[in-house]
Formats: sequence, C-alpha cells, structure tokens
Amino acid sequence: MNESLPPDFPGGVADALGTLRHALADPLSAAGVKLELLERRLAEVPSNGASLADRVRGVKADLAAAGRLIDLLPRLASIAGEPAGITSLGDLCRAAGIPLEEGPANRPRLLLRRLATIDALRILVWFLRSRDPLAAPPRLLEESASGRVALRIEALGGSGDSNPERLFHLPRGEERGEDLFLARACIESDGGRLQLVERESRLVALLSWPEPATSPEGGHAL
Amino acid sequence: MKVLVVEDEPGAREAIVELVKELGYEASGVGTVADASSALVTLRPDVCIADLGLPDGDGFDVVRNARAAGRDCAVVVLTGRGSVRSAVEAMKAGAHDFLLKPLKTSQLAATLTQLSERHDEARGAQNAGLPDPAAEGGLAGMVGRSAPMLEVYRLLTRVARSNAPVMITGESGTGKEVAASTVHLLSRRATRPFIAVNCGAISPTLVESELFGHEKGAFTGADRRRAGTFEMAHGGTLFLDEVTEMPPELQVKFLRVLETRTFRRVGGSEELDMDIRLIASSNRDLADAVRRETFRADLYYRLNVFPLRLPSLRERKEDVPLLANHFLSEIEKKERRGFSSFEPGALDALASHSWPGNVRELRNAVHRAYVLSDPPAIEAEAAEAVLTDSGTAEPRPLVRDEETWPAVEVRVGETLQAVEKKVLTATLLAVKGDKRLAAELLGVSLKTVYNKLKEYQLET
Ligand SMILES: Nc1ncnc2c1ncn2[C@@H]1O[C@H](COP(=O)(O)OP(=O)(O)OP(=O)(O)O)[C@@H](O)[C@H]1O
Ligand SMILES: [Mg+2]
Repeated sequence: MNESLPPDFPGGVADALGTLRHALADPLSAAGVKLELLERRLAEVPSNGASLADRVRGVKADLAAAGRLIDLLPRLASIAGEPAGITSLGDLCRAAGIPLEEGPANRPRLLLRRLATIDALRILVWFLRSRDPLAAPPRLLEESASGRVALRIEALGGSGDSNPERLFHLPRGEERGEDLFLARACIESDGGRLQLVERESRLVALLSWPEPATSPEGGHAL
Repeated sequence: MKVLVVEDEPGAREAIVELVKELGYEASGVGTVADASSALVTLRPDVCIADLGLPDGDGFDVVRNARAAGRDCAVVVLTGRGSVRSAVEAMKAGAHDFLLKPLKTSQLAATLTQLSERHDEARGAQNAGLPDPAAEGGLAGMVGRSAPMLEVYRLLTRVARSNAPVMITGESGTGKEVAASTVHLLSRRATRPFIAVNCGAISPTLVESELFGHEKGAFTGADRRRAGTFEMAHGGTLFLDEVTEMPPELQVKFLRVLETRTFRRVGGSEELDMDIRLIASSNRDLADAVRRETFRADLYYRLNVFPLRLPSLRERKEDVPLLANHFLSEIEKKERRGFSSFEPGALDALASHSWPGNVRELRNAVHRAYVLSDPPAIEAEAAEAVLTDSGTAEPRPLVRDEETWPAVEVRVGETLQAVEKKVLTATLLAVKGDKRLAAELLGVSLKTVYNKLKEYQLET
C-alpha cells in the first residue's frame, strides 16, 4: 500500500482556505513564541513582574483560542473542495451507518456533497446521543414538505436546551460547538438548512434541502 | 544537544532560537535551505527544526540534505497548512516528526526532551547497538530468523526511533500485537506505558469518553471527571488493534486529534497535548475498507505513514522449528513436566502443515501436543493428531455450512454459561481465532465475542 497521497487541497476556494490557514499560522506562531519569552522574562523581575506576567498569560490564552479556531479552516477547505453529486438521504444514512426509518418509497434524489454530508449527519447523531450515552440512539425521519426534502433527527434521551441556537456558536474551545458549526457549514454549502430545536424537552435537529426541479417526463432532473 | 532552527522570517526565527535556548539547549538559526546545508556540516546539529516553506526550497529538502550528509540529525518539520500531505510526506521523507503552527511551547518542549533523551542514549551507548537478530533468532520478543522476518526487523528498528505512526497489517495470528510492542520497546518511549485498545470491542457511545476522558457533568451519568486512555498513555504508545472496526464517528475525532496533536475531555474546553506514538493494526484490507467507505481515506493516510506487513507463517516456514522450540520452552517453564525437545517426526509434521492460523495456531498446536505427549520429547503422533484434529489443512470455510463444523457435546442440565463457553471456544478453534468470523457464525457482534472472552477469561 504505497499509493500516492491526495493533493493538498483540490484547488479553488479550498486551496485559498488552506493558504489562509498557513498565512495566519505564521504570525500567530511568532506572537505566541514571543509572548512565551516575555512571560519567562517577567517571571524573573522582582517587583511588578508577576502581575504583568499574568496579563501576558491572558494574551497567550487569547492567541491559543485563535490558533484553535484556525484549525477549522482545513476542515472547511475539505467541505469546499468536495464536488456535489446526486444521491439520496437513504443512501447517505446507510453509508453513515445510521438507520433511517421508513420514509417515502421513492426517495427524492438530491445534489449533495457526499462525504461532508455523511460527516454532518454523524456529528448530529453523535451530538444528540452524547448528551445521554445510555439512552437509545436518536431517531431519523425523512419528510417532504413545501418543495423541500427534510430530515428530523430526534434525541431519545438527554435534556433539551432553552436556547439551542447558542449551541452553534463558536465559543472558545467548546469542541461540540465547533463540530456543530462545521455540520451547519456543510449543510448550508449545499443550499440546505440546519436548526436545533427543543420539542417536549428533548433536542431535535431539523435539516432540509431544496427539492430538485422535476423534469417534464416525471423524473427528477438535476 | 545542538539545535538548528531553519526559518525564513527573521523575527520568528530569533524567537524560536531564544526559546530553544531558554529550554536548555544550544541553538542557532538560518533562513534558507542552502545555509542549512552548510550549517549541517559546520555546526553539526543534533536536531533541526525546519519550516516547511523556505525561500529556496522546503523543509523536505532539509530532511533530504540531513540524510545525505550522513549525520544522525533528527529533523522536525514545522507546517502551517494543517493538510495531510505536508505532515505525512515530511515523515515519509524521513523527518523525525512534524509540529503544527501556531507552535505550542509545550509541544516543542516535549519533542526536544524526547530527542535529548535519545541523544544522550546514543552518546552513551555508542555503537553498542542492538544484538544481531539473525544470530539471536529474533528481536525483542519476536522470534524468527527467516529472510522476511529479518526485513521486518530492519524496518521495525528504523521506524521505532521516529514518532511516525505505524500501520501493521498481516493475517490473524501473524504477531501484529507482538510487533507493536516491539516497536514500543525499541523506541524512546519504552519506559512509558504501552496501551492497547481494541477498536472492535469498544462501545460506540462510550468510546469517546473512554479514550479522551470526560469532565464532571459532561453527560447524564458523568458524575466526576475521568481521565481517558489518551491521558493514561501520555508519553507512551497507543496500539489501535483492528483499527478498521473503529466506529465512524470516532474516526472524525481521531483525525482531528492527529491533525492538531491535542484533545479535549468530553465536555471540557481545556486543550491537552497528545504525546503518544500511534500504532494501528488490521488483518483486513485497509485500502478496501477505504474504498467501501467504512474507513476514512484521510485518517488512513495519517495512520499509514509507515506501513509494515507481517508475513504469514507459510511464507517463512523455515522459522517453524525455531518458533516451536520457543513455545515449548515457554510452556515448559510454566508447566514443568520435563520436556526439552521434539521427536524429529514431530517437527516434520509441523513443517508440512500450512498454518492458516499462523503463529497463534502453531503455539496452540505445540501446547496441545505437549498435553498429549510423555516427556522428554513431543511425540510425532501427538503432533500429527493435533494437526489433523483441528482440520487445519482445510482452507477457512467461507460459507456457513454447519455440516462441516465439529460438534460440541452438551448435557441436559448444564448451565447455559458453560454451554456458551464451549460453543465459543470450539468456534474460535474452528476458525483459527478469527474473532470476526466467529462473531458472524454465532450471530453476535464482534464486541460481544470480546466481552465473552474477557468474561470467561479465555485466551485470545
Ligand atoms: N514472531 C513471533 N514470535 C513469538 N511469538 C509470536 C510471534 N508472532 C506471534 N506470536 C505469538 O502468537 C500469538 C498471536 O500473536 P498476536 O496476538 O500478536 O497476533 P495478531 O497478528 O495480533 O493476531 P490477530 O489479528 O488475530 O489479532 C501470540 O501468542 C504471540 O505471542
Ligand atoms: Mg491482535
């Protein structure tokens, strides 16, 4: 198994994001190292040094948070770099290893980024499940309404959240928030929508994508 | 220890040089590949920290030049792209390790500490080196002196010194776990923990907290903070056995941990450094798992930096007598019945067998022949009997055909547990220890098989 590695990023926006990460990493890196030295120097200063060193530590923490957030760029790049293809939710859920409950017999075809969407589905199921690892896995239901193909993912355990939207925020260092942020980025990159809502004090993820236009012959044109 | 910093941006270079000095090492800096090449000769550094993007080339060139100069200088590549290619390619090119920018002082310090330990060791034990495996008949717990094994030892000793992830493949029973622990023993991490995690045996919902630990209140039932495997293996080696079985959700997580070299406990925001050498193993075709989408391609590239394939026992039949004697003395040490050798006929019988279950099968066969023989030598009939009775000349059946399987005897009134144990043992024996196939035949999950093996304290 000595196959060649895939290209860094497949070009276009993806490549630009990779370059941006690289460009940001350089000054952040230098600043971090310089602050580290400053902190060490201050620690040796008898008076006043300690309180200044405390401030430097604060700045270092800010920098570290920025450093962590730029790690989202390569992941956004891989979403941006993946071409969309024709698929169905049934197919994606199967590939993601998440059972989808019986839905419409003729599942509508969608134009989606396959790997990124599979990741997003896994992140959501994982997130809902991780709030109560001992409960049954979340339920997935496909619905079709008002020109959109929709998917509900219902948690069967854990508590709700009075302001689920805040779960998508990129707070400093909350990994789940970052995961959800990426899941949303992925869904939206294909023209979809992702929301988390509270129903009967449980969390439910609502996803939807525009239904593709139907061709005159009755098949789905994409 | 002398460190050379190769970084084109002067401010960053000076800062890193100063920090390295601050950490207690000699340090100097240059800004180009050309200057690095001459510094390799004049300064004779032990470690080179090289930025990936340099004006007249890249970090890979520094790696190549260091190797060409014939100096034992470990190159650590700094990369800012966070892509698979830069990190993996640097290590494939022979870099000791890579560090991601923004550089973390803790990670730089840990890398240099490790390298300085190796440096001192190398200085202390100049040329003492390892004993010659061909003469010894093995290497640190691995037995065999056939050509394919000597090649395995060569690769293994080479990779053990770096931090690169190793991917060990080979049929069931070829010694993948033994090889993993050998890499650990030969590495600078030898005095730190070696922890094996069976990816098929972990429950997908709890695995995350098992590996990464969790904070109090992270989820229903998390009533106190708990350290995970990653924290416990800190500084050591983590062996991911049967890595293709890793739940998909976890693969995403793992990938990120490998990319950033940091992890967080479930429900926590504190970033912890990952200082672990990863070794993965699989007895299935990994490339195929990638094609079938059950294993992520990006994770595969990250783990497959250094592939190591273990030969089947069929490919190294000349090792059979050596291994058989090794197992005999191991068993004798425990059971002390006064055995010291094999009758020539017994060795002939072992030599003509095809060993679909590889070294594990050989070890079990020797053990059973030991039970059937009278001291001081393993008898030819006993060896023949254990080989025919396990039906091992047959290739592994691919279809489920009950008729061809041996029967187990069950009495009325026997506890269900006892029956379960019998059936499990017999099935595993029939499939030469292939737990996945056994699970399939028994209609349970792989995880259940592992749990039962643990419950009944059966050897795997
Ligand atoms: N080269 C070797 N020298 C000595 N013992 C060996 C060697 N290879 C394997 N063994 C022994 O054979 C048995 C099986 O080895 P191991 O568990 O490492 O196999 P494996 O490749 O991991 O198998 P599986 O894929 O089924 O997990 C162990 O008891 C081990 O000690
Ligand atoms: Mg094994």
